[in-house]
Amino acid sequence: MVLWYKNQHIFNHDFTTVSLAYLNRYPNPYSTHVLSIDTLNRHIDKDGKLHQTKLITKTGRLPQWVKPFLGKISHSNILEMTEIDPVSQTMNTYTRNLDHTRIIRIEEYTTFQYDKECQTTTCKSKVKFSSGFRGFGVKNRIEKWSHSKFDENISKSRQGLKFVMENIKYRLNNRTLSNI
Amino acid sequence: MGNAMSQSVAPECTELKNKYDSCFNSWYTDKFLQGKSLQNECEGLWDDYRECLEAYLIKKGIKPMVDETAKDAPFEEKGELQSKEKK
Repeated sequence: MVLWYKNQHIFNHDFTTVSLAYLNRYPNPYSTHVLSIDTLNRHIDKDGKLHQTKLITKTGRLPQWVKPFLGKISHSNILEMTEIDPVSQTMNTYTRNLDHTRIIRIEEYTTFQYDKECQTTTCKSKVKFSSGFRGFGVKNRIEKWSHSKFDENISKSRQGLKFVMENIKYRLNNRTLSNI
Repeated sequence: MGNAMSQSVAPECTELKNKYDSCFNSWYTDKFLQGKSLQNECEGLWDDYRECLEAYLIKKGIKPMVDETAKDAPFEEKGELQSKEKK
């Protein structure tokens, strides 16, 4: 079972603000379920693009009805990969859950692209839900849950990003960058 | 973000992580995005932070799972998926 969702949004900020906000988006008041974020790896490739791999941990957010199948979930690990091209002012991001993948695997692909003419940054997201789980009507439940979860998540993460963007914009304007 | 900085998964590494993150943010904004530097200038801080983090991941048995997943190359796949869907 595979489901795709797409979403697009335009931020009225430049690429520096948007990308810096994305990389520093936790903590924010809209993502209190996020416990930690760590950089596992980073390098700059021969084309001058910056690559980073991060590990994010969250408190368990799978629905109640999954519990009989999984037992108690207290944490989940998310892997995030980003690729930033400073020349074209583009950032690609990829996230996916590392555990409970037998029940559900959620992968999110996002592209942030700066538009010089409009001085805005367009954010395009695609989320893929896949589940190998069969029987007991679980597939339908997962589909329903994914739907509502997606809307809720995308709106929350956007609010969180906007919150961090405003904060970063203020700091960039006042050059108090040392403690972003 | 607020004034609080994010936590490391390993509480003992949070301080090292915050030092590295601050250095990274300045380098990213003032050098990398400006095309002034292709070298991450926070090497020393990175080494300290990474050493601390790796020890934790190994101790908790998370490291193999993380390494295995990180081998995927999602961006190439992504490019393909996107161009297919645009048509």
